Amino acid sequence: MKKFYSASLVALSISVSLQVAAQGNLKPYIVQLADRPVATYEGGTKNLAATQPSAGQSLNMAAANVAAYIDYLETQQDAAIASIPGDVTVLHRYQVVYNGFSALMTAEQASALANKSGVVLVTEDEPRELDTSYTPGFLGLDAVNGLWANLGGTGNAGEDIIVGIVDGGVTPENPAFSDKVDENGLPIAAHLPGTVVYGPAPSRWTGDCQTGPGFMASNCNNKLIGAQYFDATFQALQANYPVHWREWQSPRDQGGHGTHTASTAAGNYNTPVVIGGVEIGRASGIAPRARVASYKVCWTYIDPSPTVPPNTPKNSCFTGDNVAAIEKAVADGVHVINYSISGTQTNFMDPVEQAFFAAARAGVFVAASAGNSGPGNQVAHMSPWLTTVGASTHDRYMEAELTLSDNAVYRGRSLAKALPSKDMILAINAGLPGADVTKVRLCYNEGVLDPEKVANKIVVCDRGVIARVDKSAAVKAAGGAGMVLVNMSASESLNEDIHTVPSVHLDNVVGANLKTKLASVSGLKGAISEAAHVPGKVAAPIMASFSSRGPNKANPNILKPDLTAPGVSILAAYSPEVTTPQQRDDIANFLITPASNWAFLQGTSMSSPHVAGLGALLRHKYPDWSPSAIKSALMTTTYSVLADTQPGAAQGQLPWGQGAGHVNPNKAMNPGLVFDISNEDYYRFLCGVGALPASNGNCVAYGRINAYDLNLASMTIADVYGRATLTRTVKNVSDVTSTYMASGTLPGFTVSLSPTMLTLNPGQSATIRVNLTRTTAAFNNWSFGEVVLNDGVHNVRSVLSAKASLFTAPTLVEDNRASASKFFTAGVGYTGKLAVVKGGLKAATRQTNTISTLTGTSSFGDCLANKPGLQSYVLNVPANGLVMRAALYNSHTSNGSDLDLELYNAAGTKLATSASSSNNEWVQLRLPAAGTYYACVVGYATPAAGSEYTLFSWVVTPSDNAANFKVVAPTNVVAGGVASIAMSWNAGADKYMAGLRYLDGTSNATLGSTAVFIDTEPTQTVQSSSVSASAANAKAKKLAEQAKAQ
Amino acid sequence: MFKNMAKRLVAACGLLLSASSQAGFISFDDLTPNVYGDGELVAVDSTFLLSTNGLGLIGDALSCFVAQCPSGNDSQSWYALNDGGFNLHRGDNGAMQLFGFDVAYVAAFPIFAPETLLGRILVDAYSSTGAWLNTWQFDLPTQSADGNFYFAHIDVSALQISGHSFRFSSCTFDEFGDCQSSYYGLNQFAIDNIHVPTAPALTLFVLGLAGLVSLRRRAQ
Repeated sequence: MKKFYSASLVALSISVSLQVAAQGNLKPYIVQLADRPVATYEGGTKNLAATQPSAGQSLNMAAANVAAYIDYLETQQDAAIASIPGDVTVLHRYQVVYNGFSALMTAEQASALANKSGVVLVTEDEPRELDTSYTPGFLGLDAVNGLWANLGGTGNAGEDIIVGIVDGGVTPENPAFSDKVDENGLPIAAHLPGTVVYGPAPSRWTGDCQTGPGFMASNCNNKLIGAQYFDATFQALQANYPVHWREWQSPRDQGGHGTHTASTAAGNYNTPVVIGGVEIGRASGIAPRARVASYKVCWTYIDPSPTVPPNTPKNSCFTGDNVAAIEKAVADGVHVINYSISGTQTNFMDPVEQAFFAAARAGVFVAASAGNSGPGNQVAHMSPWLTTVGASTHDRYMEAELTLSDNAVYRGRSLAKALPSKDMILAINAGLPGADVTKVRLCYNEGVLDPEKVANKIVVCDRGVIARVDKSAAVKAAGGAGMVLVNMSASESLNEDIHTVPSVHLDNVVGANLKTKLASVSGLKGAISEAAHVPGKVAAPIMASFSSRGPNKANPNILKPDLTAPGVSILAAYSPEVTTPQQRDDIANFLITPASNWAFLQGTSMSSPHVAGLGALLRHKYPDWSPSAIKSALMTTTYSVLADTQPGAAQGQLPWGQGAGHVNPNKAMNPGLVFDISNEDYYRFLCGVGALPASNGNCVAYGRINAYDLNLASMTIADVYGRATLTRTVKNVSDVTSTYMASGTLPGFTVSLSPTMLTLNPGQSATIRVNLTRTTAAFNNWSFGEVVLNDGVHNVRSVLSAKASLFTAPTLVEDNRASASKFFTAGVGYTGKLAVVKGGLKAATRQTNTISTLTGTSSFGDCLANKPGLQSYVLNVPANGLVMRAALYNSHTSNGSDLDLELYNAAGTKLATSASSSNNEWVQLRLPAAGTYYACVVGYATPAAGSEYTLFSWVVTPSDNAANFKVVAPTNVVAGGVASIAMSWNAGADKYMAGLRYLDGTSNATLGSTAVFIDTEPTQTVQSSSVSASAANAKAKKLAEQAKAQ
Repeated sequence: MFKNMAKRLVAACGLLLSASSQAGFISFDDLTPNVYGDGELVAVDSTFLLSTNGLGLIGDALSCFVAQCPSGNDSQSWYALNDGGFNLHRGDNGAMQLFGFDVAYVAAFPIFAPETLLGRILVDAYSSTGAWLNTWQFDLPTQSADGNFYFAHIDVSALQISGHSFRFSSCTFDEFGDCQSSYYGLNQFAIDNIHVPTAPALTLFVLGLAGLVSLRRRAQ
């Protein structure tokens, strides 16, 4: 354990880093080193024994072999840190789930380090955002024979399972986190007298209860067994992200998000809930007897955006801190982690994704939020070892009635306390003289409502533009007594918000009726009833429109999200409202103890902890199950959500919306079969998708598999060239021998399974092959079906998704040999003729210039005018162009520069950006339309005297034919087959481009294209001898991605 | 007596060694990397011509992209792609005998199926008139446990494979265990060090062999 705390000790250097960060271009980076972390180390290094736990076992951080290996890793890390040129401030060290460290560095230092031996990846840190009862009943957990009952009832469900919440901290006073009950057996805040009903923390727990402002040691108890915070990265960035006065540098939750997710996953059963004085009822976490360990990584700072008012708070979570928390959670002995924080959509090697990979290796089940960027294709946390959760509705809500003096009744969503009869007024009639009419109608909280008109009345406000709760705040500020909020369109949601005056939220139809009546009948009064639950009245579940949709942008052969769970109108514990610095200070100094608070929130942040809680329950029931077995049980037992109104690929019923479907926990506790995944399979997957280079030791040891053959409970294949076969292995996890019949359907394909019948003894596994043959499926469109294994008791269902592809060839082929041949494989989905049009090789056009540093941001107009820091270059493309590219190189740019590159069309539309931390930039179009284009060089950072650079450009057409460039391809192709396309060249030292265009030889329709880049100039870039070219490319790409994301 | 026998043994072995190491080895190492379409003719050395069936190229382990090239051979080989192969014959259309060759499987996509028999290489022999004489089939080397494909030497010297031209092609096993010679373009192999002794080399080899037999008889 001692070794582990070195991370915290390093963080003490924040005072130094504060000064440095303020001085210049220092940014936080996360560095991954080559050796495996403790959770996945299998032995083989310097006679150090393996540290990875056996299947079903957890990490033993106190073991001598673990300490010895951490010693070794620290030595390697010390060497890597020492090799960084210049001073560097280390923020975190990681050894348990990630081998590396985070540090403040310049881009030059990061680039230099990336090329060092033993350094795998250097990733620029960036802030991540939080993805912002009744649901246990909606899920059926409280059914007579439900999962809770099966685990011994609410007094035992989740017993001694530890749920780690990596989030914004925790509010310890909420009875959801108390180990005590009152005289009625109801949970009571831990600081109040009561009877302790939890035993000591499970023996495997080795975590801490950190103290700080507003959080004392006694805030932890036998329910809330751990509370820790991780802020070294955040503190190091105070120059850019100054902490907001509301924040506490302690485990105490400032924003309420961490409290909400923690209580959703593992809050106490039957906890009384009061919101705004209204008794809502009782709430329960999904795993009510599980223990809670809170890891605070999200911090509130002053939003630096110039578009928001001064001192506007914003909350973010920095990757370096996130990885440190995940590391500590695994070392502490948690069984489950909930991660309701945004994340990568494209990179399996992202530090957080990799940390969770190691966590899964250590037996920790991880639920993560899919993201709130729906209905667009923006699903995050796309790694297969995670259970990625979408958000859908449930069927109960809080409703209040607005009764007019003519006895007309209008029902809407509400958390209101009762409001006696009051005069009513339309907001449009309540504005101050001269106030903006739109702002008045929308009830802007900018003093636009006239207090004389509003006083003691119920104001009818239109929804839109500003936050809903800001409208009720505006009514209150103007002296109003209540509010009616009216939707403006059918697609808008209805919400139970916590308003500052009693309020009712009406849909657009009912609201329009009310407004018409009030406009035509004068003198009407209205009264609002106290809000009450309305169960079973609305159709549910339906995918929330905000829930991020698939397909998986990192690899479309892995279904994401995995499943969906309730994430709309979720009632759970919350942090108390703090409105003044004095209140904050009083809490920080323990002068006041805030009352418990509750809130309805929506988001995949809310659905993810439902699944984390279910993971805890299944872990309780099946202690030896792997995280992938738990995930499989949850996925194969789902049911479909109801149809929503989203169009096309955004439809919630598609697997891109709901994944395998809506969780069905009472079925999940007896799934019959599971699709388990070994750690070796995950390595094979990473090798197969190229995330790990072929030279990586894991790839050498374990080989690789196609992504669609990873043994997930979902079956997804992105390119079916006529036919394809997916392979799965199922394991009988029941206690009886069962015979399963296998069947499958997929529109546009025939599906045959082999075998169609399999008999499995308890614990026995068998392999099935799912053979797909395209019949009528349209090319490049996804088809959705299912594979079912049924034994008469269990219906083990896998979502089957496949896309018929006509022709797929690599978009880019690169080489650096002067005289060579090369061939690549294209997939073919049709039978007929193939033709190839080639152009090239073509040597680069070189233009040398000098540029200064850009102040401000780039724009097409400024670049065209060659304003300081920007320089434009014209690229004219004739008809039938094959490829166009512009590029910059470190080797042809002054030292100390960071130039970027943009590409515009003649209309000024930005078509591409390349903005890495180096000068190796390129923008490119394949098969560009004829016309004029502009490459824009951006001086992101230059020496004082400016940066001299050479812009390389190519416009390749079929008439280009240098360097004996020759291409051969098969003239006849067969659906379901491949075409090997071969090329050779004999070139001098230069940088060359070529382009290939593929045609259906019968119809002449274009099938695709490939750009070819041949760089035969002697390389001037030093690369690590131990890091493969592809790994170096991955580093470069990652750096580029991060830079682009800023 | 013993000294003479030893001298003769050394001489016979020398002839054998000379025949097998200096002549009639088609290694492709002296050729410029190039790609060839169906029917293109390649002069592999001063004696032999190679006629492409389908697609072929002269390349090395760095020639593959997406596809998986065999490992462990830093020199050039002939890659027969897309259900293709080649015909080998002498420029003077003389008779030949095939003694052996190195061959490896070329996967269209990276795969991981160690120790699994994926296909075979086929050798057809033809007469001077183009008449088919016979076909021989040899298992292609399986994938190693490390996920790589390696060349393996196939010695056919005992099979008396003779003719005026040899056609090399491959087949892939389908799900029913049949080896399909036209299989969605997936039949691909790399070949190197084709041992087809030219006449002088063959003569030396035969003389060496005869010498060894003579020595053995005398010893008996």
